[in-house]
Amino acid sequence: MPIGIRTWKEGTGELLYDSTAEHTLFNVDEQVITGNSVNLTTGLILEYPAYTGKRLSVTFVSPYQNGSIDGYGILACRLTYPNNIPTITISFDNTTATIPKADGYLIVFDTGASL
Amino acid sequence: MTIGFRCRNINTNVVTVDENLKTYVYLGKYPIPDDRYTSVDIDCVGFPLIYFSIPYNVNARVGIAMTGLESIGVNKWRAFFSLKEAGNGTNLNLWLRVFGRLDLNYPNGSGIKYGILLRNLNGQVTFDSNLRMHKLAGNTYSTELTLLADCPTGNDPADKYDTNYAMPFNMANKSICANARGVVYWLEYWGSYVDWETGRTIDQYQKRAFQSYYSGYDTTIRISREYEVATYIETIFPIVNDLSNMHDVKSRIAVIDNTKFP
Repeated sequence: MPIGIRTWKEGTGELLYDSTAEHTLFNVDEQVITGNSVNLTTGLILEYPAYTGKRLSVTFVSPYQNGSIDGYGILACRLTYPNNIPTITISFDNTTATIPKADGYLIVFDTGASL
Repeated sequence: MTIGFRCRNINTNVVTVDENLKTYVYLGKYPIPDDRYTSVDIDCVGFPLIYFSIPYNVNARVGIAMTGLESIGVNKWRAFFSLKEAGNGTNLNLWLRVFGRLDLNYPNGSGIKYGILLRNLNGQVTFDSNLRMHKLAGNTYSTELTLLADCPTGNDPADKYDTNYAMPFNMANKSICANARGVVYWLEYWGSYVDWETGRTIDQYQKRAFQSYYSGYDTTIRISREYEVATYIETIFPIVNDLSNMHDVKSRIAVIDNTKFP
């Protein structure tokens, strides 16, 4: 490694961080997505213009806080880049379902990488 | 950042440490019991980011799905799992790995004597060289799953609705973060009979529930759409079974290397 940083675990000497190898994910946003906040037709759209041109990573847990999954509509999560703006779309799998809508939990990371 | 600490990968120019940016760190792992339906209780301050290992090269129809997450107390969480074909004698040896916010779980850092500890201007810890930062195996942050709206019927071959994703590495010793279930219910007309007491025709429907099970095979992640359980509905009124708005579910997946998070 000509330039950079490596750090080792105290005591064991295990290499834990290498700036030439890592892709640390930085926490951009996290929030509860309530099922009722998601439009049945258009879904819920979240834009991150501050990260235009950057590649984000998204994890989405659903159902969140519902316990049993049975009887709940399930949310889908998609990340796209219209005009290079990271855009997350949350939607339901079946817009005609009359079953209760599940909530979810969204965590968004900045990968540091460009598109 | 005008003053502070930032580190870039010299090869990719990607920022890998920044004193102003919050991160998640590895908190530990928990065994997932080999039961058909099971749960794991975990400790984490703030929302836990959960990865779980998947059956690898075991059997085509063996898989795992994370089916829910709920808070069960202060800094305590319960993750729910469904294991397809669990209990068939195969020891799946699956584990759950938890990541949590560094600034919440280690507000004063790990207590290292030597190394690097970074804080932002608010005093929150943003990097600790003694902890394992959340990082993915390869650049899998772009991986998107498509869970088909189509669901198996009774006579379909079991693997007809599987979705296979080629990954840029072998899936042995990997864990995934993937929680979408895809289409939940599928209503099918099952039959009719005449109730001789009332003379009415009774229509029977089968409400079939589905689950998306994950497994690994060499460099492939397989998502199996499996028929989970059915409940029966009897009605004297015809049901309009409108499936026109059911659509494929797009979801995200991330993969970590278990050897980096023992």
